[in-house]
Amino acid sequence: MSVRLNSREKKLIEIIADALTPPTPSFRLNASDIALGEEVNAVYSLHPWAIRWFFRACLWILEYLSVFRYGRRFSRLSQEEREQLLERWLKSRLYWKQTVVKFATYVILMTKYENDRVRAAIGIPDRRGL
Amino acid sequence: MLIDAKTFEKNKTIETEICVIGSGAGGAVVAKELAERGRSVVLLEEGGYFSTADFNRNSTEMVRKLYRDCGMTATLGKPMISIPHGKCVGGTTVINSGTCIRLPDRVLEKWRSQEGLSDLTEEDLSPHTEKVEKTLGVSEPPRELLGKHNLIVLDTAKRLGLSSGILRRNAPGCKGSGVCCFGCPTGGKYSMVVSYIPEGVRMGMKVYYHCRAKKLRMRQGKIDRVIGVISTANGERTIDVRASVVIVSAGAIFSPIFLRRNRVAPESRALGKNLSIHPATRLMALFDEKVESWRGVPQGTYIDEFSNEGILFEGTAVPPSLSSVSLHRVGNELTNIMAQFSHIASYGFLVSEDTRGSIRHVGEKAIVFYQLEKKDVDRFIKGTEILAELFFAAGAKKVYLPIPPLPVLDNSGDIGKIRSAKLRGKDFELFAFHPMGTCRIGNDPHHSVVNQNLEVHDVEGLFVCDASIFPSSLGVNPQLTIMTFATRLANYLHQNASRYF
Repeated sequence: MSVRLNSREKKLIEIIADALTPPTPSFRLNASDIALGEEVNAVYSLHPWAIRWFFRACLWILEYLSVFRYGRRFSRLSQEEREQLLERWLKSRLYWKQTVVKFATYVILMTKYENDRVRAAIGIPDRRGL
Repeated sequence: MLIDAKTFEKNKTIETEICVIGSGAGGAVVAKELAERGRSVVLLEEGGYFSTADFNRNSTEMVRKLYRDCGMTATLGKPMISIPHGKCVGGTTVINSGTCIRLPDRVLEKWRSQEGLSDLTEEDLSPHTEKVEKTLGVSEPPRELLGKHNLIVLDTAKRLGLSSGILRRNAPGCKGSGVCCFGCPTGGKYSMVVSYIPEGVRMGMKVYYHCRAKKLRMRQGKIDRVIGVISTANGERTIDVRASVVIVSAGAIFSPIFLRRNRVAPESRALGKNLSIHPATRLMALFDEKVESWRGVPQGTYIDEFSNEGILFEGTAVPPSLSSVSLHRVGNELTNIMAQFSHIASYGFLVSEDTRGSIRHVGEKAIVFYQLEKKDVDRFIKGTEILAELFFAAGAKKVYLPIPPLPVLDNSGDIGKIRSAKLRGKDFELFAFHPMGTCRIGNDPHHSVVNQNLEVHDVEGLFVCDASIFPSSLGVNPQLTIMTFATRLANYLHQNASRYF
């Protein structure tokens, strides 16, 4: 299995990230501003193969399973629909749905909030200053 | 001497008296103590070597370098519980919070009365504990280093009359950097990599890192050698360590796997069973005032009012990356909560559980089975209620729960929702940092793995020295108890040298 994510996967990561934490007046950075797809790719390529495989599977499950509810892939949904779907899955009583969305969002959010620009935007001083 | 085994160009054979497998709280301490007594000691460590200068506060990078499987080790069961642990020279001591709590008397009494461990008395253990505490400079941090997230809860607990206090830590040089779990960047925390290991090396101990112990060879029921494997770019190398004593200190997940793969203690029904992990969780709360939880000691205070019921509250500071995942919110709401991160405090609790899990393996991969029992779910419900109450009493505007179906409470009147939600184990987001019990001490070879001297039943010269030996969960952070037992084992081997060397 390839160690690198492809461009569609990187784009999908940025779409999921913006659905999870869209830019607001109090926080204006979106995922493409910090090249989150590339950053997740860099982190992802260092993980053991089983984790890489599972992460990739979670991305595609999220992308395609929305077809059953909305008739469209996740990346074609409106922002509101994406948020609804993610929230529904996060709170789902079906354990596998929770697991898929938790794992995909875990990797994406972890990477996003480790980014120095994002940390600065939420008020955390530069690491060297701590 | 610290040697990178990856630099070997061919297979190697080493003669020594003692081979220790694993360089965490058990292995490093016993290795140094024996080296100090003039014994020749070789220590094998699977992970890499990182010094204080390598710890750069970047959690993603540090997790990849210092944690096994990038910190993604987890149990199979409901809920799936993350068990992050170290894989580097120094083991989990490099990435823990540095909390040092003595083995509670009630636990020791239980071991004596229920498990028949009559040798384990306070008089026997205390001198070893004191020696460890002295070596590591265990003490309470000054109040100004604790950070607001610790003090908000501690002061409220005191005001409400709950038994609580400041945790003692092995961090005499602490500067309050707030990143204990990603390697202390100032060297203020005395993990094994800045304390016992350099001291042992000074005494002549040899540490081979990037070397995974694979095979154990015995001759006529006695230990003969350990074969370690090193994966290099040019293929696999082996290191053949001939020793008359082998001490397995690979932790409660990997020690039983190593023994089982080498067909040790086949008659024991306890090997790999009896796993307890201290499942834990944390709550976050939004305050009007700035908390800035990245400043100060992450785990600096405790509330032990409910420890007899198996619930111990301890401070925790969660970096923004992990907080964003734990909020279980989506959309503008999550963005806005994270934008107020400097106003968020967190605090956690661990449960001394009744649940027991087990360890199996596929090849060299560990599979951890653990299904939370109802009684422990009730403890999590109770702990969540108490902590939510404490946060509201401290002036929190909102409390964020580790429960995806019930992620937030807006006021103290909402606390009743926790109980009425009829929560099950799978509804909680849990972590565990203290796997224990899978090679338990005991007198019966069928129901335990090691005897009271930590020697595997019926295999002379083979010892286990890590958290896997505990017959039950401790209810407190285990590192000081592990180090106590390691010091005691070194003492035992020294006193019985003529039998083993």
